[in-house]
Amino acid sequence: MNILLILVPVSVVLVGLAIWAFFWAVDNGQFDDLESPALDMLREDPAPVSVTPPDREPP
Amino acid sequence: MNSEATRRCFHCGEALDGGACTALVGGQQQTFCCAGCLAAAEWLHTGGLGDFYRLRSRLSPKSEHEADYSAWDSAAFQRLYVRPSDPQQSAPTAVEMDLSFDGIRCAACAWLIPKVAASLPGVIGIDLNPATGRARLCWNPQQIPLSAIVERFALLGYRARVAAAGVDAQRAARRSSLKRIAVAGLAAMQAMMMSEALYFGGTEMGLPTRDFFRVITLLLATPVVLWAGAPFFRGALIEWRFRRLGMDTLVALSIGLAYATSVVETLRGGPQVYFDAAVMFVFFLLVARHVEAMARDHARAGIDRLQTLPDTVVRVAGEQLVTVGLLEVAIGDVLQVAVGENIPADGSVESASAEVDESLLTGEVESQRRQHGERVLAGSVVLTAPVRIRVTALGAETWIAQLSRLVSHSAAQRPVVVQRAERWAARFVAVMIALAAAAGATWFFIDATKVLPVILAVLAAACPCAFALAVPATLTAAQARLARHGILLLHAQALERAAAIDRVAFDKTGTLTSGQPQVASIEIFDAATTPAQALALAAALERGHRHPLARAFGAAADAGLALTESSAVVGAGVAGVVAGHALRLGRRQFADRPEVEDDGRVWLSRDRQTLAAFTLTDHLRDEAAATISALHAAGFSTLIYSGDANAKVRSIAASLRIARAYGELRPEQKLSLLKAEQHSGHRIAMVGDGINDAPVLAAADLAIAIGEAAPMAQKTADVVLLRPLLSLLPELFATAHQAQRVLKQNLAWAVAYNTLMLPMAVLGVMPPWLAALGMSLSSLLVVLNAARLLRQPKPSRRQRALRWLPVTLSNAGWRR
Repeated sequence: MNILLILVPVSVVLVGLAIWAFFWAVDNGQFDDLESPALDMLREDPAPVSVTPPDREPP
Repeated sequence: MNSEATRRCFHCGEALDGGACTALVGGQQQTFCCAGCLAAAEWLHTGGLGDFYRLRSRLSPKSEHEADYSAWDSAAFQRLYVRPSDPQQSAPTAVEMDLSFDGIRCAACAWLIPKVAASLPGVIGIDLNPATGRARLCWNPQQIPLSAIVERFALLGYRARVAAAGVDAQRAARRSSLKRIAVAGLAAMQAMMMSEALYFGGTEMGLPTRDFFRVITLLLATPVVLWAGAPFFRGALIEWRFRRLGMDTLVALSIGLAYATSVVETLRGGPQVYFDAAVMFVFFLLVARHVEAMARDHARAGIDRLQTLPDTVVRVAGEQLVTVGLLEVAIGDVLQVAVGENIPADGSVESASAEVDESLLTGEVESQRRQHGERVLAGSVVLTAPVRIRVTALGAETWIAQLSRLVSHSAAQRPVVVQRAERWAARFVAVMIALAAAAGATWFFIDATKVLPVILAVLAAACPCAFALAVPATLTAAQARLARHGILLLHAQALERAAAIDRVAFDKTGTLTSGQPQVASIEIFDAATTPAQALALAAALERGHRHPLARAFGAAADAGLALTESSAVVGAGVAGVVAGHALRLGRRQFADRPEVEDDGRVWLSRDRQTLAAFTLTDHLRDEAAATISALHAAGFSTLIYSGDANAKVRSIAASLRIARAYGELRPEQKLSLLKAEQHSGHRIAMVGDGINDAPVLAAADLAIAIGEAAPMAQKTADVVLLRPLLSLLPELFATAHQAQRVLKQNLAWAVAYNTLMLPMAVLGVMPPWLAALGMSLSSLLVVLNAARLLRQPKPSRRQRALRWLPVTLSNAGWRR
C-alpha cells in the first residue's frame, strides 16, 4: 500500500492544478459572458484577408 | 418576400411611411427608413459584420445617426467620468469609463458591440455585460476622441449613457463567488474520498495510514474552511455585532467547531475527525448563495434601464444654443429639447405650448399637451415641435429619479417569505445552540468521551440547511423558469400571491388590444371622393408624424401624394396642402366645424369642405381569445374594468366570452369594484399597462404589467410580462401553483428531517458524520425537488429538431 504515499499527494497536486486552471479561466473573463460566444460559431468565415495583420511578422 | 416585409426598414424594422431610401447592401437591394439605418447597414457590411443581420433574433434599435456627443469631449465631462486605466494592461495614455447601452435586445447585439469596438482604431477594449447592458470602455484618447466612439455605437442604434459606478464591483463579486465554489467543490470531493476511506477502513487500517489520510484531509479542508468559508464567518461576525442570531451564526459555529475539533483530533490522534462535514457544508451553502445572488443581479438589471435621461443638453444662452453636459445645468436655466428627445429635467414650458409623450413615466400612450408655464417631467419625450423649458428640478430631485429610487429600494428588499424563514431560523438557532450545550453538559456526566461527538451531531442535525435552502431554491427555480418565458417577478412574494389568485381583471386598453389603432370604417361626405382616395390623403397628411393615431393611416394607404406646407396643431390635428388644396385632418372642430362637439372620430376636410370621417378601432390581440379560454379552463374567472365606452367594452367582452365587463369606469370606481370582489373572498390579479390604473394596481392582490412600452409602470407592478403576450398569463399562474406545491413539500421535508434527526443526535446514537451526511443529502433533495420546476414538458420531435436552427439558438441565448 506504499503506492498511496505517492498517489494521494499526486491527487492533491491535481486538485491544486484544477483550481489554478479554473482561477485562470475566471480571471480571463471566461465566465463573464455565457451567451454571445455561442453565436460566434454561427458566423460565416470571413473572406481570406490579403493584408498581413500588422502585429504579426510575415514568415 | 411579401409586400409587408418590403415596407419595413431592413435595419430597425420600422414601418416605412413614404420617405424611404433603398440601397444595395450585401449584394441585395434593401429599403431603409432613414439615412442613419442605411449607413449602419452599409458600415456593418463593409466591416465584414453583415452576419449580424442573420444572427439577431430581434430587430435592431433605430439608428441615432444625428446624435451629438461632442460634449463628451469637454474637459468637464472627462474630469467627471473618465479615469486612467490600469497601465499594466494597456498603453500608459489609455483611459476608461463605464457606459450603459440602450437597445441591447438579444445576444447578437452583445456579439456585435465588442466587434464594432475592435474595428475602431484607438479603442483598446470593451467589457460588456449583456444582461445589464453595462460596459467598461477602454481607449486611447490620443488616437480617437470619445465622441467618435460613442457616435459610432449611436449610428448602429445603441445609445451610450454614463453608467453609475458598480460595473466592476458586480463582476468582481461574481468572480470571487465562482472561485470560492470551485475551491470548495474540488477540495470537498477529494476530502470526501479520503473520509470514505477513513470510515470504511475502520479497524483494519493501520494507525500511520489513518494519520496520513487525516493530514491530507486537513490539507484539503483548510483552504475550504478558512478561505472559501470566510463569508460565513464574516456574516456570523456581523450578526454577532448586531446581536442578532441568524443562519450564518449556526453555519459558522458548526463549520468552525467541526474544523477545530478535527484539527485537534488529527494532531493528538483522537478517534474521529469531521473534515468531511465541514467541507460539504461550505460547498452546498456557497452554491445556494451564488444562485440566489445571480437571480438578484438579474432582477436588478431592469432598474438600470430607468436611467434614461440624456447626458448632454442644449442650453439657451441669450440668442445662442450651447451643448453642455447635464451636470453643468443649474436650476433656472432654459434648455431647448428637440423633437424625439427626452426632457432632461423637470421644468416649466417656456414655449407657447408643448406636446409630450409621458408614456415612460405614466404609461399613458396618448400624447399630453402642455401650455406655457405648465409643468413637464424629466423622462417625457417631446413630440411635434422643439420645446424650451425652464429647469425647476434636476438630477435626484426629479420625479423620475424619486420613482426609480423607490423601485431600487423594493428590489433590494428581501422577499417576505425569506424574511419569515430567517426569523424562524433565528429562534431555531438559539434553541439549537442551547440544546447542543445542554446535551453536551448532560453527556459529560454520562460519558465524557461522547461530549464532542454529541455536540457536533446535534449542531449538524439541527442545522436548518434544508430549511434555509427550501425557500430560495424554490423561488429561484420558479423565477428562472418564468424569466425564460419573459415573465419578470419584481417581488419574490409575487409568486406566493399569484398562487392564491382566482380572478383576473383586465384593463381594456392596450391589454386585450394591440394598442395600434386601425381604420375600422370610413364615412364619405363628398360624392366625388372614394374611400381609398380619402385614406391616401389622410396618409399623406400624417406622413412623418409620430403621433399614435398617425400609425392608423400607415404605409399601406400611402399613395405617395406630394404634400407641401405640412404643419401640426397640438391637440387638434394636422394641416397641409395637396395638389393646391388646403387639407385638414383631426378633431371635428379643427377639420371643418369649430362649433360642433367632438365625437371621437377623425375628420378630413378639403378647403373647409368635409370629405370623410374615419372611425378608428384597436383590434384584439391575436392570442387574447386563446388566453381567456385557457384561464377559464384553469378555473379562473375573468373581468374587464375599463374606462372606455360601454358599447366598446361589451363588444370586446362578448367576442372573448368574458361574462362580467364594466365600462366607463373612473379609477375610484374600478377601485371600489375591486374592493367589493376582495371582500367577497376573491383574490384578484389586475392586468394593466399604465399608471392611470395605479391605485387599482396597488389594491389588487397581484399587479401584472404588460410589455416594454411603459417601463415606469412596469416597475410599480408585481409582475412584468416582458413580451406583450397575454398567453404568458396561464404560464405564470401554473408556475406559481407548482412552485407553491414544491415549497410546501420542501418545508415539510426540512421540518420532518430536523425533528427526526435531533432526538437521535441528542441521544448519542447518531455519529456526527452521519448527521452531516444526512444534512447534505437532505439539502440536495430540497434543491433537486426545486429543480423540477425548471424541467420543461418533453419537447416534440419537431421542436427538438428546431432547437438546432440558429434563430432558435439565439433565442435561447436571450431567454434567461
